[in-house]
Amino acid sequence: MKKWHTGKTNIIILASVAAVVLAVSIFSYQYSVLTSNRIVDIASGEVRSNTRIEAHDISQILTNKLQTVGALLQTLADSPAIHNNEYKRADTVINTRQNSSTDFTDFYMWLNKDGKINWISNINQSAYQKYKGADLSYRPYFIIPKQTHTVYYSSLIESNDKIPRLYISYPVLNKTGTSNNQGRGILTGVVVTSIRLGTLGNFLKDQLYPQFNSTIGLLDRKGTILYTTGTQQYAGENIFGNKFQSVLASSLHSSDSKNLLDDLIRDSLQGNTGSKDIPINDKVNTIAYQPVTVNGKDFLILYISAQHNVASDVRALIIQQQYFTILMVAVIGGVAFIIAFLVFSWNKRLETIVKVRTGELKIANDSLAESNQQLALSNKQLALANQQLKIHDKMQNEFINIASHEMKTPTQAILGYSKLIQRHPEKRDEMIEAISRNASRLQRLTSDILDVTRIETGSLRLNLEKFDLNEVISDIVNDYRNEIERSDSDVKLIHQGGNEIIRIEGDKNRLTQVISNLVGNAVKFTTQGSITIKAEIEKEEEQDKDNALVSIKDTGSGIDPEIMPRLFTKFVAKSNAGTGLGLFISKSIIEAHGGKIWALNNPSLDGNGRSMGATFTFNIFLSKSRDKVTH
Amino acid sequence: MSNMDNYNKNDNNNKKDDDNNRILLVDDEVDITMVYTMGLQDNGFKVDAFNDPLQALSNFKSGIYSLVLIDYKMPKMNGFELYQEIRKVDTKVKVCFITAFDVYHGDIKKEFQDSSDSMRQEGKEDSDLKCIIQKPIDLDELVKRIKEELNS
Repeated sequence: MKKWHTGKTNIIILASVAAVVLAVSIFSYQYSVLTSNRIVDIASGEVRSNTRIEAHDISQILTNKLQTVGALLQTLADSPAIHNNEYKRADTVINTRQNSSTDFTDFYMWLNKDGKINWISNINQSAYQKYKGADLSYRPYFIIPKQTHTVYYSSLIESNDKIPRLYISYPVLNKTGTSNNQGRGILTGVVVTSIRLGTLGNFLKDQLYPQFNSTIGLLDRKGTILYTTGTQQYAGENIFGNKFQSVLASSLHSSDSKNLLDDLIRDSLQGNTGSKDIPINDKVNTIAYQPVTVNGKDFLILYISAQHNVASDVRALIIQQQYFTILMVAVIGGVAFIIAFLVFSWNKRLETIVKVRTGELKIANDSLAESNQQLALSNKQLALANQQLKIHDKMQNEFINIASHEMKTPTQAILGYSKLIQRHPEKRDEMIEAISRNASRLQRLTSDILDVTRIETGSLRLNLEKFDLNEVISDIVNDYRNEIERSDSDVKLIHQGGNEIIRIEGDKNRLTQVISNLVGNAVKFTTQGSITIKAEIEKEEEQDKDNALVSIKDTGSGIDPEIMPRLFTKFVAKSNAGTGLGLFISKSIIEAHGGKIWALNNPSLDGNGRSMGATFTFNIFLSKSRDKVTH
Repeated sequence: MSNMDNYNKNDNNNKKDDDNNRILLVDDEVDITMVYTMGLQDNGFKVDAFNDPLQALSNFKSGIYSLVLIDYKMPKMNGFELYQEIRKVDTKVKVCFITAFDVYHGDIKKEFQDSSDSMRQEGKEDSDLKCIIQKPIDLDELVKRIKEELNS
């Protein structure tokens, strides 16, 4: 029961540890995802704003550059050499312009009023001869300034030499003499400058923030691709043209992305500024667009695209963090598991120890119970002893009471008669006899009480001597025969085997007292029949144990079965004339000699169950020499 | 001995003369009844003496005796048992106990007290036991005690 309970507890604790570890893992994962999302958001925001700022800045730089070139072109158009068609001077002026913006512009060109080449900057003689007078009047960079008399920024133009270029053209107007013509003079020619797309692209590329991993794109207002980072293979293609669209379709897997991109391009071509997040190749790109406005006209549209690399970097970091966290949690969980396991095994050991201790305790307890039992037993014995002591005390009191009663009664008689004898002299003899009778009764009682006292205090001394038992018995029998004769009784007193000499060692006076007491009792209780006294020797295997057996058999009233068990105790068998102490004293004397005394009612002879008297018997060792008599 | 028995019998014959000084004496010892009877008769009491308490009880009649003198220790029936039997017949008669006991003296009083209490509970009146006569006693002293008890 207890073991099962512990096992279940262990499982619960282990499960709890596992649950806590799992919960911590999940929480940690969720938290890191949240954190990563936030970091990604922050990073994305950064990318977005950087992209927009970059688009804005580069657009501004490009605007400035183009306006600078425009301004150079204007000063060229206004120069006297051009106005006055001074070819020699114009040559130098044009070359000077080209030299001042050679990093950006490809060349400067002067067309006459019919669109034919007057001069091309830094051209050698042979080339000049080849292009001089070539008709470029079909080109928009000639037509539009000629018509509008304002600066013209061209879209992409495939030049005669197959090099894609942008052109800026400025009308050369002779305003002298035409002041009423609202500022419009007579067109005398057009100055043109060209910018190679490659040069433009390199310029733009140089403008990109080196620390910011972005790409750049440039469209003209018609959607023609002028420049994209990395490759010029799409230059000149329209962004909605088949070639570029098919490329887009292959790199944009999602139609959503495509739609977003189309919307963005349309919005940008209308001259708006903005930015959008577009997923390209599973990566979010922010594309910012900004028109490049020169002299109030939207000339080009600039695109800056930046991948949200930070986000993926952050994700990678976060995943790394997650791996680390999971590892930590796993390690902590493992440690917790090991600790739990150690605690369990420790508990088990403890349990075993406790079990052993409990066993020991139980044994100790059992022995305690045992000693308690023994104590209880001792208590019982003590109670018993106490009870016996109380009984003894009570018996002692009883003895004193009875002895007192027995002594006071003859005393009262003596005292009474002594008083009465004076008043009643006529009864003098009777009263003297009564006094004498009571006095001898008192004497017997006194003597017996003294004997009892000696016995009970252990001061009964035997005066050992060797004598003939039959001789003693003979004397006693003679005494009682005389007494019986005096009382006119016809009881016969028989001394059987009185001729044999039975020599024993003992206290002659005390044994005489015993036999006399027993014969006296027999005489007292026998009114007819006979009293037979017999002494004989009992042979035993060990000679030392040979003993004499003395029996006194009467034909009297027998012994009351009620008092038989207490026959030899004090005051139990009290006759009218007796003290009730004789049998007690006799028993004590016989036992002091190492013998035993007992009494039996004689078996019925007439078959009526009537008692045929009693027999008192005692035995006594022939020789007392071998053991101590006194006790 | 035979003369003394006659002495008793003479007394028994006179038992109806005067109820005021007739005494019932019960003691198992012949010498005691003899001595006490003579001592009391010498002082004008009439005494009915018995050595057997059962015989005494069977001869007892209510209103005859002014006092009962009972030995406490007797065979067959002790003095107190006899007293209780007598009380069932006669609730008025005065009682004196004779005792040779030393140790039991207090016990007798206690036993008597308990008995009296139970009697009171039963609605019977009884006097406290004051009269316990210690053996041996001078005959004149005995007479004096008996008279005191009768006059109380």
